[in-house]
Amino acid sequence: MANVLVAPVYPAMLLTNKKSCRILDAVLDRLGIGGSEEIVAELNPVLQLMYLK
Amino acid sequence: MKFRELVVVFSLLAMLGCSGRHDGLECPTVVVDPNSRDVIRMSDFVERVEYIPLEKTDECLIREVSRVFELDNELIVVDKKDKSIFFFDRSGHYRRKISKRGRAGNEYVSMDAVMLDAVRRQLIVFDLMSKKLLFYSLDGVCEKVVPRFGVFEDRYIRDMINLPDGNFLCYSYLHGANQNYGTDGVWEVSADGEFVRWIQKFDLIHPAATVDYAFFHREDGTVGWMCVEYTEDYYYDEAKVRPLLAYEVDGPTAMDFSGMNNNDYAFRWAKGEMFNDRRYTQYRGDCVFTCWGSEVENHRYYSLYDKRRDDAVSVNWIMLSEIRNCCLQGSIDFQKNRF
Repeated sequence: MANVLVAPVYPAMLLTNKKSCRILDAVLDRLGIGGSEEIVAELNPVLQLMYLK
Repeated sequence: MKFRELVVVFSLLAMLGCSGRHDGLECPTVVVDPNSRDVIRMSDFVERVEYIPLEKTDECLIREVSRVFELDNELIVVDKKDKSIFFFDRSGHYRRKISKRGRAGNEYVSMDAVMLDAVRRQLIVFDLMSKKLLFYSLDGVCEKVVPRFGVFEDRYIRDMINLPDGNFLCYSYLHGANQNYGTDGVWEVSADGEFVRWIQKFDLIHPAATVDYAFFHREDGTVGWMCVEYTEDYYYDEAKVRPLLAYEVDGPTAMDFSGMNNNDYAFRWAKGEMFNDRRYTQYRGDCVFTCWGSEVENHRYYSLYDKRRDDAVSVNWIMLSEIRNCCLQGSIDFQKNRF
């Protein structure tokens, strides 16, 4: 993965950054992660793989 | 919002040039200006993005992603807080883990460094508390233990990396004048844990960040060393360190507090005398990402150096904390996150 940046995204962050963190919102929307805050808080991290040009 | 539409506010850098360093060898010098800003699109350097939700089971509860390896279409996620190594398939389905906390011979008390040897198909765990090195197969079987690994002049190994010949590079970050000044730095240790040679001793005194990850494997097979103490990076080749990239900050750095160790500096810091501090750097393809500035205005920022821009080097600052937290910090900080 020489040209890949791997970014762990922690869904629980949504609970504390929901208003300000638009990018994380977008990530969770794309993943279809929703439901109660309790469910989101207990999820494992999501790996965000960014493939560089 | 599509990823390509995301516009990141950066503060811009300034310039670049080359300067002679270290025995006449030259390396690019990135000069950065923390006070200038610019706006760039992440799509300028990112081709596509993939998301992999890691499955959560009772066996697999991740506290913090410390490092990620990929081998045989599997993702190997190191969680140093949980002292476990988790294996997932490329879809994020949990497969197995290595979790051997304990004091038995094939167990570890602390997980201070985790290395992957893709050739020998082993995961190598350094236990600083017990001072031993453990070699696990990818199935979690302990195949070898080296007791009293790297015990030498009371040095504490803060990070290490495996070399192609089976030896290791070990690193002890700069402590300052009150703690055996002159014996911190980088040295080589054999596979049996015996001291081989000093690679570089620190010949300076100034406050320095506590560095958790100092080494990285380069695409050409050599090993890189992020030396925040000198604000320079090196690579290790033929038993020598050679300059790779240098940074020059248009503002105060740790070098401006020469002769002062971390304890001394704590009092200056309280009075607002802060400096630009490089925390870590990641080399990925043609891009070099660096995290800066925890000591300046109490926030962090990042630089991006794109090698493809011929002689022009652009370094950009990320000023939005929300982007720092959820997007680029994780990306840049491939090896450790500090959310």
